[in-house]
Amino acid sequence: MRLRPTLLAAVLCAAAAPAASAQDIAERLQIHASINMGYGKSDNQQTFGITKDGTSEYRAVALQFGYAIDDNDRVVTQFLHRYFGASPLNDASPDFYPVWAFYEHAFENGTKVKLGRAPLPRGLFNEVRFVGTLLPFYRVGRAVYGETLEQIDGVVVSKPWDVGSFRIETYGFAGGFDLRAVLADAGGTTVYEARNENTVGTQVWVNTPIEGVRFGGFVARYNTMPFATVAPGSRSKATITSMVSAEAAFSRAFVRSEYTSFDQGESNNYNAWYAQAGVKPVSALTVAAEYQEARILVGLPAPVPSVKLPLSKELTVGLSWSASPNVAFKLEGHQVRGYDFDTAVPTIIPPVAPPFIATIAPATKSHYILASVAVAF
Amino acid sequence: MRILRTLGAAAFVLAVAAVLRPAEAQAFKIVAHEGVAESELPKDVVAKLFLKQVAKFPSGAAAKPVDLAKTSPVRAEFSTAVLGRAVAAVETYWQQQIFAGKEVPPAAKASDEEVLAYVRSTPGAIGYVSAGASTSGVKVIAVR
Repeated sequence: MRLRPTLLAAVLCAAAAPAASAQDIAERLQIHASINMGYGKSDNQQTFGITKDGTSEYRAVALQFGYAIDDNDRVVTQFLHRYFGASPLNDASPDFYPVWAFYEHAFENGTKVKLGRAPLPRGLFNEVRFVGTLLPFYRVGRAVYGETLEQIDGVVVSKPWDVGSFRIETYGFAGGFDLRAVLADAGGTTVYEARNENTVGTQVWVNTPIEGVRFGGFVARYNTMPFATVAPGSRSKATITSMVSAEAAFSRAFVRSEYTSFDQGESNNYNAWYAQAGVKPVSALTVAAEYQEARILVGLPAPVPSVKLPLSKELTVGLSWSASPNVAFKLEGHQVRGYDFDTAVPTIIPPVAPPFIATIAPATKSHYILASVAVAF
Repeated sequence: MRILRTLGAAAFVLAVAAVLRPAEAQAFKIVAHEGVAESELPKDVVAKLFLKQVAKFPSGAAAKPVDLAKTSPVRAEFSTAVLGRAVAAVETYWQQQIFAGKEVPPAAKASDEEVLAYVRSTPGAIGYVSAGASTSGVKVIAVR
């Protein structure tokens, strides 16, 4: 599974290098990079790789190459390295791997088509979830974005429309993607990995006449593999996932909020939201706060009814200093309450006697700080 | 009460003076390849061309915008006056576009001369140069 995108990236790069002069190549080739690295320390539970001992192995490095074959065609690859302290997710990803490798054609009417492994248009931050210079905190809220739907192997079509003073951006996509999640229980911590195929979906953005104010909606449907080889009666249901977004971002202040849900019927239902606000008392300084919350439906053995578990509630406050758009220094503090940690904490207390209603264990509370520097060019 | 009347009168005089004051001379002019059909363009259209939110002139010809370097004071003037945001904010916009895999910024040239040379030789090119630059061989576009 890892070899496929690597080969694709190599083939696309080779295809994009026709005989050309050095000056011609310099004008056609775009190289960009993003570095986001930090030090984190928790006071209790290990949260997303941040340990009680502290970890400086916290980074995300992206290296991006784009080559314009001509005015309407280009290829783009992005290679990513990321490390989350002591998170088991580290073992689930290669050290450095192509997250994008796509060919894009722009049609005369403004329609663009991406073929290959392309960033998935989903919400405000999906494509830039680790580009620290564009974010008020080290990364986007994990409750809403998680470790999934980052990119899609397939096709992405986009078309902008001007409707009066509004600018509408529409995207349609189809293909497959990977999903990863850390599962911690009494048996230890594991990384759940799933391949999802037969994905179809859309993202629509409505940019209002007020510069910086926009609204968006995303919806997609997919099947978790294996599917076709499983007996029809035993197949998992298709998952419907959606996201709604709203943002008002001005030169001195911003406020935004997003809600997402993953619905696979009674057996699997997850939803999360966040709200974020910030001000810039001076142009280089951002003071921001965020609240995020996630809930998951936990199925239990019959006859015990399912339980809606308040998986996590996270409050974040942070400062960001950006002397230029290319560099940002950040300090942020997080308070997490709930059950979503890298190590197992008490969650559901099974019933032992009628009426067989499960109870939820008291939430665990933990804090962590993260100091980071972000560079992008 | 007399003080309030005096202050009110002073404010009125200042407001009238501000309205009647001749517009400050623009520090830049928009230039385009001689083959470009348009002689004038609305400001929002120019902004959309430079932010690559549209790829064509209203006449339908493909546009190739070209910028001055980020440190250029002329670019700072152009950015505020036409794009409606500071150069740093435009750079953040381009970072979002680049790292979302959507678009790349226009080529940036180091001087007026380089912008003019590019515009002269590139069909569909549109750029801006300092107000005092010689514009022979290119078309000056009025911004509405």
